[in-house]
Amino acid sequence: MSNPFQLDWLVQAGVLALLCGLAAYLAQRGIGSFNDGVRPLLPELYKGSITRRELAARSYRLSIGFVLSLGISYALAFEMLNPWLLFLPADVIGVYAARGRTAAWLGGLWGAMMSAFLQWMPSMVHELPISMTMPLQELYLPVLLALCMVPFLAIQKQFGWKRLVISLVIGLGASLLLAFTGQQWLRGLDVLQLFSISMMLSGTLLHMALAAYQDRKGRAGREAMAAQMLLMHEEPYRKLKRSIPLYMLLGGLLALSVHLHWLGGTEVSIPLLYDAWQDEAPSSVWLASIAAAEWMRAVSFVPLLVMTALTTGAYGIAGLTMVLPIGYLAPNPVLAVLIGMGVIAVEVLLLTRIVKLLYQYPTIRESTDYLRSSLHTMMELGVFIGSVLAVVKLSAAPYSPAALFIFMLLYAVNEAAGKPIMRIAIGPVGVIMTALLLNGMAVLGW
Amino acid sequence: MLRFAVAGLNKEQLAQAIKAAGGNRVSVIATSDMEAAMLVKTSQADYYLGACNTGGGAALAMAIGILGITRCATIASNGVLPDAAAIREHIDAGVVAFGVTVESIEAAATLVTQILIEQQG
Repeated sequence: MSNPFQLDWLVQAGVLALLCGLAAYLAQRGIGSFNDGVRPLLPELYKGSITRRELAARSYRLSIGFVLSLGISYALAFEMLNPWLLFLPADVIGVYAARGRTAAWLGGLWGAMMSAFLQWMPSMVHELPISMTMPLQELYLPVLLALCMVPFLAIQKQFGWKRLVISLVIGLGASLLLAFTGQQWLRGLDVLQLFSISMMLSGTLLHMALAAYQDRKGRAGREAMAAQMLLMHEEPYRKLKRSIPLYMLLGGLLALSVHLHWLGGTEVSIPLLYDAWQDEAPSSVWLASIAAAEWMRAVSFVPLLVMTALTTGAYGIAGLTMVLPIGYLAPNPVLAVLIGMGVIAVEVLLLTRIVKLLYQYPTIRESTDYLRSSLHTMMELGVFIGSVLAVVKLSAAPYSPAALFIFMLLYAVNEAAGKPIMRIAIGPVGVIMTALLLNGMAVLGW
Repeated sequence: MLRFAVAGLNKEQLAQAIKAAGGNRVSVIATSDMEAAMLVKTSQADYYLGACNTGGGAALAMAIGILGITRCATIASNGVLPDAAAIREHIDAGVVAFGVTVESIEAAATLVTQILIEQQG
């Protein structure tokens, strides 16, 4: 991976060590975790109803499959780190460590190891006779197009066909109009990217508006309940506010790591960033379309993160994940750090307002469930189609039938074994394995 | 009649799998995770099932908060298939909320429903 600033390996190791060390420290103190399943258990740790060993074992069991199938395969395929690989182990280290200092050191060690992984990986990938880099860029288009449909699929699932048609007329209509006028001043793929931004944003807004409309009656009654619930959130919120400086530091480091191309975003943005970052200077519309996708995903997780944070006093390691796109939107590292810190601060300060809104509009909370389900469905499709295209591109003659055969065989084995590798990861895993086998065949001269 | 409340990713699929396995001996309501857990807490439902990517994150987060950790269990995670013996053990230990991965919705929901019906006699 080309590093735009030619930073020393030591700096990279230092920043990633600080990032993971801080994440592990937060988990140890019970004030932050990446894993949504660990956060509700952090207060239990301090109440003494669960031991550190038990929680670490539980946390390990929850994340090991995720790290092995999604974390490692995405890192190998797209040559950048991801939050699962960095922070799920940091959670385990944090909840296990008896002292904050131990957690910070061990977490830091993990971060430095991840830096070593990042250094070693590209040299390994690029020395292969059959390159994987070009083929994996094929994921870009199918993933972006799949993402355009996410909010509309969610609207159909939650509100039915009639509302979908109305939303499509508005959302698709506006997006097409925008793309059409955009042709005057934009070139090539930028028009499509502008269209996708408009589809994702207008679709998500329409979906949330439909949910709010559903809840227009009976708000007064819920207002009273919201006030009562807010009292319950007071103590955790005070705890969250006390930790703001640490969360801000995390936000700054996260944005910096993304800015320097060490860390991608989530499963949604990683395949898109991989393609964009191969370009010397990706256009701002291009990067904005990736940010729009990441923010759409972030919206779908907001209620879960906000609720768990306000009941436990522990925040998400990447906050509401809104901070990740700051890395590629910010023009330079200094601004990335500063804006990253600011975004996290604003998030935490807005938490009680967001939760109040969620109590007043309960349907919005449910809408995000549908948004997450649709995101999952469409990402599976987009990544899979992209992976098939990658295999086809990977398999220059004389290997083309062999490549497709190997890929399908791997898919079949995974299905037969009860899908140990998640559907969203099986495509990239299949491409990597196929590429390795083809490279083996090429070396052996078959 | 066994009353299920389901939530999380692809909850319609989860509800359908329970109905398919339990027929007229089950009722299923698909709702938000918070509401589903509250239904179980207030005895308006007997069991909670939720799905997410890990089987223990978003699927159980609110259930753990509302019902407590001892009454929640992940029965299918990435690379770990639902197992009848383990599920029976959880039920005997008083677990009422189950988390599964999206990949194992069909298998896990069918197994849990069958075991619960069988235990009901």
